[in-house]
Amino acid sequence: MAHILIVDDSFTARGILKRLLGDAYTLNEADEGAAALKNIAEERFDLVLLDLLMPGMDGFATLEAIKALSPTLPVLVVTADIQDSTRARIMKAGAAGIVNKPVKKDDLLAAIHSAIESK
Amino acid sequence: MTLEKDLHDALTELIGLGIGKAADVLNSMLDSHIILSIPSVRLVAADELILILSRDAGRNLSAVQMRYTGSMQGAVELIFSSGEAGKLVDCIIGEETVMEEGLDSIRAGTLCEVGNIVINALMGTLSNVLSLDFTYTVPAFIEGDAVRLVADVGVPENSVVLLAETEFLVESKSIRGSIAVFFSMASFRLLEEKVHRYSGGAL
Repeated sequence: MAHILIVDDSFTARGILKRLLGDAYTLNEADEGAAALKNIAEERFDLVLLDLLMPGMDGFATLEAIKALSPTLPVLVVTADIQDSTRARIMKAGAAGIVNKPVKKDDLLAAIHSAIESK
Repeated sequence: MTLEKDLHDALTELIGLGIGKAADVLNSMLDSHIILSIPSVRLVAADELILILSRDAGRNLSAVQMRYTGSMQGAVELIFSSGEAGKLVDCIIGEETVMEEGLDSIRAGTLCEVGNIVINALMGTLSNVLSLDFTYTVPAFIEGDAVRLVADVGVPENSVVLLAETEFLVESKSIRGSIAVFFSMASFRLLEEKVHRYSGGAL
């Protein structure tokens, strides 16, 4: 069973992702970037679902730090930001993909499958 | 404080595009179909906004605020009377999602997610169409009267507010709110220039 780390400061957003993923994956949660890095340093994950807007270390800084810590770990950025410039920046920063908020279950599962397969 | 007709028409069109995008996105959150409309768009000063919100929505307001920087600086608030905010959240979460953290935090979190989506749809459309670039802060939930909501933005002197009244139609319920986009005067001048270039086909 794939091991996924959900990183989002919003309790509601984490709850939505957990509900959509159900029991199909082993899930860990982090409510900020620093906690995500600690998780990644201590455990092995197959994928990270990362929010962009977080207080303190934002999604971009967290993505950069994850890539430095674990270059092959795929990161899917989960965001409501539809700006072309933001989306280009996310991919340039090394994300495996983007999942739009609000998250649709089929899109989420397809993105996870694709990111883990291409690892 | 008024918008010249061409600018008003172009901004109404752009905000309509953004709200249409927001409605598409919100529909995927809900079991029932949601229709979002913009009955009016106008430019007001911050003190006028306080009068309008106090008159139309009362003293107990709930809002989601996101600040933006980048090509322009300011803030956006999605504002409801507390009663209307409650109706909207009820439509989204139903009863089964009231969990261990308690109703208030669940409602605030849900309204923040809705605000995040609506504000991103609106500002993202402006960004993509007008070739602007915004960086946002984390959505914040604010409660209070109109004075509190405007004060929380920290409005500088000579700021202007683009006020779009919104109506969410969910099932048989009509939920009224407002989107207030706060601009510094310099930022609004840049928006004017970009909109004129868009209207003239230069973008």
